[in-house]
Amino acid sequence: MWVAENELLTEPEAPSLLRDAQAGDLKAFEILLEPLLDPAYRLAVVMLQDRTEAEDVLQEAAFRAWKSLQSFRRDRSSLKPWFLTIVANQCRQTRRTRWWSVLRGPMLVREPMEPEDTALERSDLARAIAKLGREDRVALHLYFGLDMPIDQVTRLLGVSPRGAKSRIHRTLKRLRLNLEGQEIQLP
Amino acid sequence: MKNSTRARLSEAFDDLTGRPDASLQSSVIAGLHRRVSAAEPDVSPVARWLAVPIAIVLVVALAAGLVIWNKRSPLSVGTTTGAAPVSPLSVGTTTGEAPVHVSLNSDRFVFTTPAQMCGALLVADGTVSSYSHDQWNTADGTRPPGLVAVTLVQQGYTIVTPVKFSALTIDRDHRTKATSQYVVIGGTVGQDSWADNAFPRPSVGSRALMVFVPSHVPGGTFTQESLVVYDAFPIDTADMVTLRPQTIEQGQVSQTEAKVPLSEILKELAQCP
Repeated sequence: MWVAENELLTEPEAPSLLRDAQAGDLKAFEILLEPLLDPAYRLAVVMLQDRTEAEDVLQEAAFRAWKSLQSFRRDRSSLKPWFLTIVANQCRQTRRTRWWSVLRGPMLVREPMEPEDTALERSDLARAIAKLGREDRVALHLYFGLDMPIDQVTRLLGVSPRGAKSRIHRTLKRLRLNLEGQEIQLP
Repeated sequence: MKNSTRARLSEAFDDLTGRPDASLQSSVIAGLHRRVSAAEPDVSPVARWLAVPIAIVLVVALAAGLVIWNKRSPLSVGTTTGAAPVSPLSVGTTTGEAPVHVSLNSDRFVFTTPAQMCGALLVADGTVSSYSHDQWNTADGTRPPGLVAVTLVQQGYTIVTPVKFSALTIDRDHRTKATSQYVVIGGTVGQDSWADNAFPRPSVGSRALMVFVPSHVPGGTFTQESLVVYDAFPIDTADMVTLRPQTIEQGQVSQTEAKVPLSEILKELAQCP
């Protein structure tokens, strides 16, 4: 079973998990990682628009997180943005690699998501989001989809707080324009 | 109202991403265990990026070393033609004000994807209209006196050729200062010559997607006033960009051609962070 994305352990022994994991306890790291996999997967799908690649990215990001866990110096509440940043970087790396693999293959451009995707058919809004630029889509997803505070969105996108807010506003505005009759309130 | 927006967007993203497969979590954990127990050596991104400048430094160092080797070896002094040994840098005469001939074949970083081009100072597509006279990259365009080839390389001197474009469409621009001229690396000034096979020289009348970098100012700094054509990818009449040419070795295709529509590259560039 997947653990809810905002579920963070609150038991008395929880703070020691991070210390144990940093000391090399893989089991402790697994417990810390499990609640992060769902939002990480969603972020990877939003960035790559490919579920298989998103799974691959998760595998790699988990290993990279383990390898660099010792250098993690903040508290546990920062673990989620830290791990999502690793996932986002891995997605960007995958996209760069994909460009080469696309060049090698007969198809020059990959269609974003499958057209017969039933989930997409269910939602015009989801369809409109899928057509957004990658960074705009990611900003919206972090803020609304993953419910991250703006300072964490800022860090993950590598932009200023004003830049992140402006991107979210601009994207919402664009969505409203693209969605005839579907009014969306600005935050 | 805000909550309503948030809820609708959150649902839309749920629709978009779907729920991860139930087996994914165990698969990620199992994969992690495999990787950890295998203890694969991992090259950090920092090390990977450092490899590029280190490689460039090594090329320059290698070139400089070969100059000295050429200078000292009785077999190669003064040989720049005929059966001269193949080397990244061959120098004719290195004393006094005698001619300087530098031939470099640098193994350097190449911009081959739009994602990489995102980090360039300037990306533009245009048509070369003309080249001006070749000149040294000094204030008066002449070679500084008293320097031998190896010192010229080490101190960042080079021969450049100013280039003009009949049309230049800016695709990605990070410049903070105006550009007064565009140049390509290499050329001939008097009896001196400079060639670097790694740098492009698109022919007059040809259209190309180009990546520009700041010019090196002798002494160790760079300037945006003069930009170097660092990479140039030909654009054909159908607006297809050749990012990688086909190469044939011993009658066999050793590298396949990679052509991409210019529109696709521009779309990617528009999404640069």
